[in-house]
Amino acid sequence: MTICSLVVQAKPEYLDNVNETLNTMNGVEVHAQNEYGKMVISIDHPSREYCSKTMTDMTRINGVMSTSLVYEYQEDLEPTTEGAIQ
Amino acid sequence: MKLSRRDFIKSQAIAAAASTAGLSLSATQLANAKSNDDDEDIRWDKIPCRFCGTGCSVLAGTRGGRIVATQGDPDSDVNKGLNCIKGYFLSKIMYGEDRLQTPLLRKTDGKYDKNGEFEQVSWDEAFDVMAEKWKAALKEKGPSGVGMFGSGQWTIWDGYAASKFMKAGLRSNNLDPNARHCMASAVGAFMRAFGIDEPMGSYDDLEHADAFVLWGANMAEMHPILWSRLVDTRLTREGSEVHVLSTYTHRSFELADNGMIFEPQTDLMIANYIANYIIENKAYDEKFLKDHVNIKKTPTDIGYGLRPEHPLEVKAKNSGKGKLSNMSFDDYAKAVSTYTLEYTSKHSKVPKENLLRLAKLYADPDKKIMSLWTMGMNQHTRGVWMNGLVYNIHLLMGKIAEPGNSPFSLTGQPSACGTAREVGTFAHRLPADLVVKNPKHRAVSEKIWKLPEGTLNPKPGFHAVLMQRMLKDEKMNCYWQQCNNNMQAGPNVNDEMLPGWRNPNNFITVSDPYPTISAVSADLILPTAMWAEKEGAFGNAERRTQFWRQQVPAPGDSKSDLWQIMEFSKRFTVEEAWGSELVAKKPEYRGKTLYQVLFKNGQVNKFPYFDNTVKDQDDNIYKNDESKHFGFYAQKGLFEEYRRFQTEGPKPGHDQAPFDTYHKVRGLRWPVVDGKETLWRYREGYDPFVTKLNPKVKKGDVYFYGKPDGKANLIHAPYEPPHESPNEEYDLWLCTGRVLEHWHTGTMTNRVPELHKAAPDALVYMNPGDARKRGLKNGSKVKIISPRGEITTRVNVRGRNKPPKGLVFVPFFDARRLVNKLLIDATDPLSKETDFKKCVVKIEKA
Repeated sequence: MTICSLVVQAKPEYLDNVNETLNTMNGVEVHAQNEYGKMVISIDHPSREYCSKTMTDMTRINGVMSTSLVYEYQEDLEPTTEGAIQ
Repeated sequence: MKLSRRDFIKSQAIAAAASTAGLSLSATQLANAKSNDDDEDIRWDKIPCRFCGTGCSVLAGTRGGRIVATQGDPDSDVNKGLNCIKGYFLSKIMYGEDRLQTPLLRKTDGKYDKNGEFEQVSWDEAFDVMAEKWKAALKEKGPSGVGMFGSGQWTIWDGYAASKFMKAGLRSNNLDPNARHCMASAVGAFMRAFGIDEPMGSYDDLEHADAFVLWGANMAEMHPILWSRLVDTRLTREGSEVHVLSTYTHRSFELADNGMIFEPQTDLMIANYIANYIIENKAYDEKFLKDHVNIKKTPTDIGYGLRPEHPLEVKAKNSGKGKLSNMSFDDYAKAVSTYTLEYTSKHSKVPKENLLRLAKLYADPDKKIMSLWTMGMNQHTRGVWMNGLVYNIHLLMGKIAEPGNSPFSLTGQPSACGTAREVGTFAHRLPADLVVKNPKHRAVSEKIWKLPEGTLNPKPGFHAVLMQRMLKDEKMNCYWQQCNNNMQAGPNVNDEMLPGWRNPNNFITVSDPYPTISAVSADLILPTAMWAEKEGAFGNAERRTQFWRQQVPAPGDSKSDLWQIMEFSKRFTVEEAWGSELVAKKPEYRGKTLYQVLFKNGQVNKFPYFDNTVKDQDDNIYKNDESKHFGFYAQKGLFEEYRRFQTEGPKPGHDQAPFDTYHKVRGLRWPVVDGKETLWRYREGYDPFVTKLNPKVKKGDVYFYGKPDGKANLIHAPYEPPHESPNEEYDLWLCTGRVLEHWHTGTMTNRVPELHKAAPDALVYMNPGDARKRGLKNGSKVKIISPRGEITTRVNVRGRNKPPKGLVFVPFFDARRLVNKLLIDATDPLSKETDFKKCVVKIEKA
């Protein structure tokens, strides 16, 4: 399991486009954004390699000016251990 | 509420990103993130990133003696919780499968043999053989027979110990860092214009400036975190704009309001044109010029730093000269008047309206401007001139040394500033901006180091490129390279480097954690502890000094560079190194080793180290392998001795805080006075040295205290042609550089499978028109041929870098294609920094 969160900065006039492209990417979710084009994004995927590739791909979306990683968690969870913790 | 472990971690991740971005989340998302997660046995500690000169702080999570996770440090002023893609993989760089773990010596039949195969040896055997070779070279050629090539990736104490060992111990100034390849032009220009090295501003200017001008820097890929701060300002500040100058289109152009592709070398014209525009329109700040600036000119026709017999050097009237002379404002105005809009546009090929827009921006008194540059300007046969021409523009307008008005030289290595520059590991320097040529500087250094008078050698040593020429010419026989991969990063590898390394009369040692091209070209390989495997300190591009503790043990028998230098110094007696005449001046040193005189000198060994006593505020315990081995807190002793140069030396304004302070804070920007850092130098109200050195200074005024009269130098320099230009046979310019995924020669990033897969091969980025003309398509296999050699690779015409017709770009991270074979070893004659951005090539189908 790999989960990471990112801050993406897009040109405001491209926000819709960028949102649309991000929504087509497997494991990617947009959680918040503002009018200046700043977005909070997570990637949730079993493969770490996928996450890093996705992060690089995001940088190349038309209108994206910068992509920075904030938090990354990686763990090899067996399906059985992934239960409720509370 | 039931929450799966995945949901919980995800909520935390999202909350961290939102808080970094200053965006709000829904109440449920926040609540989820607040749940208790005692992720248990992971120990978290701060450590600066190992890669570029930005100096991001990361939190490293350690479990079972390995770093298992990293994240951007939310308490860091530099990266404010962010991390770039290379930072994302930091935890993996130490765990490549081919990590070296024992010394390796070339041997045949149990004995050292230059043509033998590498065999595992003990440290004792390694140093025995090495010391024998070094002593023979010292005996035959004197101190110039040996040399060391260090790094802007060394920790501060690695560099300090190396400087002390070579300059005081072996009395050889043949010590130079690989920072010569990246920062020397910046240093030269700082010293000429301001008399003190390093930028006057800080990264805070990224939030204070209205406009940004990139002069030869692709920050979007090379300094992604600083770029994200710049992007933030551009997108949120009314009227903010970004201008980008380069010889090819790259990622940073996507944000550019004014993108300009110029013909290589004509940046010299563009900068002079802007000065001309400012003068013609009387936009300059007359009072600032009168009060704070001297106008000077520099000798012209200075050659290209090639071997003296090269026709270009023979032809040059003032080869290597840089002594400044006075110039009147009117003469300066006349000198730049050549650079009209028409003339500059014609030669640079930048459309007039773009040049005019840039000039108007600089000339607007109400716009605060940050100029940023890296290798495009430094790796330039007129790099010192070019750095100076940008200072000229800022000085003309008085746009300097205040929030948002900031000419800012970025760095490429994590401690190019903190180690290579500040500690004085250049062939002509001593710590804290002192130089070997100056008798007063030598005297104060000898006093602090407790050396007999006359120990230090007044003659500058061999610089990076000259060292390789001297090895080839057998004038230097022993060479020790640490913490860099010069056989891949240096210029003209086949003609000027490899022959010297493989010469049977030379002995080459390379300290490295991995079997790089340099390591396998050497005679002795010493396995090195990496960054998190030792206690360290780096200094970034904004004068910020950052410390870290040893996080994990080094694998096998690998040892830090500091350990290696200190341990090797035990092999020399003062008599062997200095001769009896000098020892007679300090009879108490008789029979002692260099280790005893340099490191057990009552200063460096002053602070005791009891095993396992390095603790942080939370009582976490850290190891310190060097201190355990030597029996004293080596890093602290070295740093505290080094600090004396800042306060007892003749050059004020370099003060750092005491050792222990840095372990508690996220770095401090020097000068640090009474615990307070300095964000903007030379201005009253920000820099305490201004009032101290000029008590009569007016409130908020500027005082350039690096120069005796408190004035900066505006230095006129004209356009001069490059060392070579495309011709009928070699019809293309070649520019080299980096890509986002890899750092420099890829020693570390190529060991991270994800990064290697993302960018496995160095491609040649080419204009589609140029490709068509040669019958090539995207992906075609080609030979790139220069007068020095050839490499084979594939063409990319649709990639991130889009060169104009007539220029190609190849990155240098790929050890399987050494693009630096193609380069000429032409340097800036003043800074001795190689021009890695311009040489001629032709391209053929392979």
